[in-house]
Amino acid sequence: MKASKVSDLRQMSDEDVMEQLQSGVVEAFDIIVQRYKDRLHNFLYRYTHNHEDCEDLVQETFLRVYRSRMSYERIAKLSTWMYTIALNLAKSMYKKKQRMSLVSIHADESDPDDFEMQITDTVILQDDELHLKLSVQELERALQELNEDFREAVILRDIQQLTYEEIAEITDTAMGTVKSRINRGRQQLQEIIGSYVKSETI
Amino acid sequence: MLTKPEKSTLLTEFILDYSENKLTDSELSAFKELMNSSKVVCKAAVNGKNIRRAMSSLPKRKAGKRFDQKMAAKFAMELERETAENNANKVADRSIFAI
Repeated sequence: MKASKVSDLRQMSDEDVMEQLQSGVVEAFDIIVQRYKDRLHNFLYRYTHNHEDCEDLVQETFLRVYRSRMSYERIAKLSTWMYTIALNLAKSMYKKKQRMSLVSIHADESDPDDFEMQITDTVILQDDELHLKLSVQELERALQELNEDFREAVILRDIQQLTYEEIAEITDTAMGTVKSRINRGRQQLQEIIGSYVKSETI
Repeated sequence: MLTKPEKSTLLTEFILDYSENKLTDSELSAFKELMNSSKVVCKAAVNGKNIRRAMSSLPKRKAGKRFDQKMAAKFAMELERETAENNANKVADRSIFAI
């Protein structure tokens, strides 16, 4: 009986599985976890840059999905709702980490070399040059330096491959704003990466 | 006649669509003409395409092998906590009725 229930759940859409969870079918939770664990991990990793922290965040996202299951309404896609929860968690964790790093970076105020570096360079790379110089680490680092609003829009679009409509819903912004953030985010990323290449060649 | 914000929105949409290879043939040839006549537009379009391509090729990060085990343990604790909370609420309800 239980096995057939699980195989039935596997055939259902995300929203139907969620409805089952709302009506008390606990097995539905595992189906949701299996469908979203890698997607959420790939998304949240861009905020944590650490697998262990990322796993904690993914697990917390699933637990919050379970706790607030009754507040989910079918008017939204389940994926959009889950990304919203994950993004809010990532943002609060990121702010907490930033506060912590501010304390540690500026711990020694007497050190004259302890100052923030200003990036003013806006070198534009040609196609082949970019491929030569661009490494995964540089891209990940540049992504971390990006303005928060731009970063979330670029991650959701270019890494998670979500539609503009979904991103607008997740970030609670107008679609025009989403498009503008993606465009400006990509331009800013190119500028940051350009500054890395310039500093390497000096 | 388009207003300045309308022009800017239209240009953003063209740059995004160009970056994601979503322009139709006629749109692409018109946009390439614009790129040839404006260095700023050309830089923005090339940048957008480069970054889009680079970001899409970032390696996918997956949950670790022990993820399921850890998640199951946390979920079991969550169910336990929920049951305890429900029981406590039932006891509280009963005592209210008893009064």
